[in-house]
Amino acid sequence: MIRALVLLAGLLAGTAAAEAHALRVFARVEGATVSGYGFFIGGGRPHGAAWTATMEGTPLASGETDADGRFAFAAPAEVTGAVAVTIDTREGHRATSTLAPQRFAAAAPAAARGDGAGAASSPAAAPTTDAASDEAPMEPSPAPAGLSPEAGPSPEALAGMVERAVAHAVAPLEERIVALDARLKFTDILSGLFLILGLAGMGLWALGRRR
Amino acid sequence: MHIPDGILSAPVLVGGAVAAAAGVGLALRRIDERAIPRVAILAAVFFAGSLIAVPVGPSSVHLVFGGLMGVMLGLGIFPAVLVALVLQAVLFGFGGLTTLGVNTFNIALPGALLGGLLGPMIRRASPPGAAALAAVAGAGSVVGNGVLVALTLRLSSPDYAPVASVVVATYLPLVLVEGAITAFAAGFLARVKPDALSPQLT
Repeated sequence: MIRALVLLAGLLAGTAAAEAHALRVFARVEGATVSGYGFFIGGGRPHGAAWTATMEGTPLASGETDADGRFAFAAPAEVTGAVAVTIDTREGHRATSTLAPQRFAAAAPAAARGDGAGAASSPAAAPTTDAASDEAPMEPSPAPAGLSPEAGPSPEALAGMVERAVAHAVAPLEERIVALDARLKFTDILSGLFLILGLAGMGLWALGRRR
Repeated sequence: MHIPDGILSAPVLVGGAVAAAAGVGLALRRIDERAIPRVAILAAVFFAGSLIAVPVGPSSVHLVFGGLMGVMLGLGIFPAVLVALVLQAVLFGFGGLTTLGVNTFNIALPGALLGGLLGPMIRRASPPGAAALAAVAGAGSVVGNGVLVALTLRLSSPDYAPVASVVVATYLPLVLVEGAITAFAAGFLARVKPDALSPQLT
């Protein structure tokens, strides 16, 4: 028995086995940072797994997930297409999450309207820090910069602030929606079991008819 | 075991689908009314049991029951796995619809082979002997599945080839647990209902 197990272990070591089922990636844009994490449906996070971010096929950033399966990188200065984040646990599990270009426009309107290319390319920023201050390095304090001294914030600055505030407020909801989406529902499990039962019944009926 | 859509190359997908269809066709030609309820019960066991994923190391694993299905169903493992995988893909998005054939083949073939190879010995053995042989079938089916999955990934693209050290760290516990559970189930059946250990295909 033990010898058999040792043999099996040797076989496994020699043949690089792999299995893949339900890894998911949650990614969001917050200010100038794209952050998120991978998770397995049913529990667990892929820690120490390789992640890569690409925009239209060109690599943006890569690294390894931390102990909570998290990743973060600076959002591209110019968003020319959808940004895809892929997590690969290197044993067969791979999953990708794609952020549409509109997500970047909504999260960093100041950057999108920025003065030309590269205006908003800031180095990696912590997601919890004030995102606005990272978005436009050219202007030390972007929110007051939109204010004209006599007449309150300009409509563009106001719209930017509102969009950022909304993005910040809905971030936990987005996370919750992804989690709900990737949940095993008890009713689905039950319907699966009864579908199998029904198929068996149909098979028996078909066999009985043939006789 | 659940390779998602969009990873494998077209020849691998088509090859897997053809092989799985052949297995299912062979099984359905030989199935009779005694075998259908058993195929359904084990399909249900596989469907529900493999939804329970346990985090291990950087990944998460779940039971496959390939060895047990191979011994109890013989070739009937093909339709059982196919039905369960269709439901998992449709209801939960595990695996994918284009990879159904490949996934079915990768799970069912090792089980069917080990069931055909060890099944006659298990049926002749005493309950403890049956349990020990079933442990080999259970553990071997996981190893066989892993080898086939690695092969299909590698055939599709060398980029997807898994890293051996990560795989061993993750799946060694699964091999041991799968072997132990298959041994427990087969040992119990050998004592109380030895008939259940022979596939009722005509």
